[in-house]
Amino acid sequence: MKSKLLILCIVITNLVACNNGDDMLLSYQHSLQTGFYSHNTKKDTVLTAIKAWGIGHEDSLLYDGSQSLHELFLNLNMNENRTQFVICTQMLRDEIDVYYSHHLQPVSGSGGITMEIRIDSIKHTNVFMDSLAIRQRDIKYNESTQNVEIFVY
Amino acid sequence: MLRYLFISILFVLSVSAAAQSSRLSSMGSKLGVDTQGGSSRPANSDDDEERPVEPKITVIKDQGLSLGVDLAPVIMRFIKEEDTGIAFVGRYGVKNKWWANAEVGFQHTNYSNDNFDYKSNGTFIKIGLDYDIFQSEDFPVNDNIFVGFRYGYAWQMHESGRFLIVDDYWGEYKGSVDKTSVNSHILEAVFGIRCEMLRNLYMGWSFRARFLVASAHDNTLDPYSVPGYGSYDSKAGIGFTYTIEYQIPFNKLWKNKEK
Repeated sequence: MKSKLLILCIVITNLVACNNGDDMLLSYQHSLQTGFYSHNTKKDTVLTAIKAWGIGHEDSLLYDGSQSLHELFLNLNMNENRTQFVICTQMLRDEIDVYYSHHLQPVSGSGGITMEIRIDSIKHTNVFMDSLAIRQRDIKYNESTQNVEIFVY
Repeated sequence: MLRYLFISILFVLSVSAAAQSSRLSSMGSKLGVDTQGGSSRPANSDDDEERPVEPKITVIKDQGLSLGVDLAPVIMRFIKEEDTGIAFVGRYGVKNKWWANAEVGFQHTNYSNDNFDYKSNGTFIKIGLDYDIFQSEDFPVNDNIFVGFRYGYAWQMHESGRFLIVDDYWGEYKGSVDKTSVNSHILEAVFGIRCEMLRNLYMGWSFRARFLVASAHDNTLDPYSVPGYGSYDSKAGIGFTYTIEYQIPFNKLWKNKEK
């Protein structure tokens, strides 16, 4: 009886010791993760010469047109509940308009503060974009899940 | 690593305390003998060839009202220095193996770094039941090994005097959050040990598997830490308690009066 109890206690003690998962680095990325998909095949696709910037921040580019990409990280403006982006590929230009709510989230262990964002809705123009699908509404600290699928013609 | 060493030392201390308590087994324990169960044969049978009936032995432990203090929040202050707290525990023996429990505690959190200040004051109450699985004929002592559960409710007021989030593209987002309230509901599974160190004076520890089942607060700032639970950003975790209790043995007093 006593030896069984000792073994049980040791197992629990080790489980507690292994639960120290706070050694994460704190990132200040608050990006909407988007991916490009073909409207016809529904498979991921690459757009060439991608250029993107936030409306109201035209003097600085998120993507400068030098790359061919199948996904974009669009930083959301935390001072607002809405951020508009211009996305260009070659000579085609579309705009997306992201509405969201956000709240502060302390991160224990790393001892910092980050923002948890919930996407409410997204509007867009239809030059090369056919449609959008929100796959994951929540943008959370330390998660890299694609939030929005952009279907292109 | 520090956490492992700390808990290991705590574990070794408690095991040695249990051993010490076993040596003091004559203090405050009773060995009851039940000859009723297990046989319909009369005890004074004159049939000498029949095997004698093995008496069924039941260990009857002292039960009563225990009041004590949980020192885990004080100890945790050395590891998580932003949290200051204390908790008081009460337990009442409702049946030979069943104990009703109540815990009340207070927690103050004060955290500050380059981009974030946070303050919280809160209290919690937990109620639950423990079942004593320790029954040993070899060591008829008042010690207990508990498995049980707790339901907890925590209330706190929290605020952030200053926060700063820097975004590579849009720049700084900074401000402060006024004082708001947070209500949280907690469930715990408990495994613990309690040893009688001196007559009616107990020392014990327990491990808790904790689950934050719900938390209601305004949608501006998540809590950094929930009183009686721990870090808000993990919805399940493991905690521990380290208690010193005095047991008022009034169950025994009642029995004496009845005589």
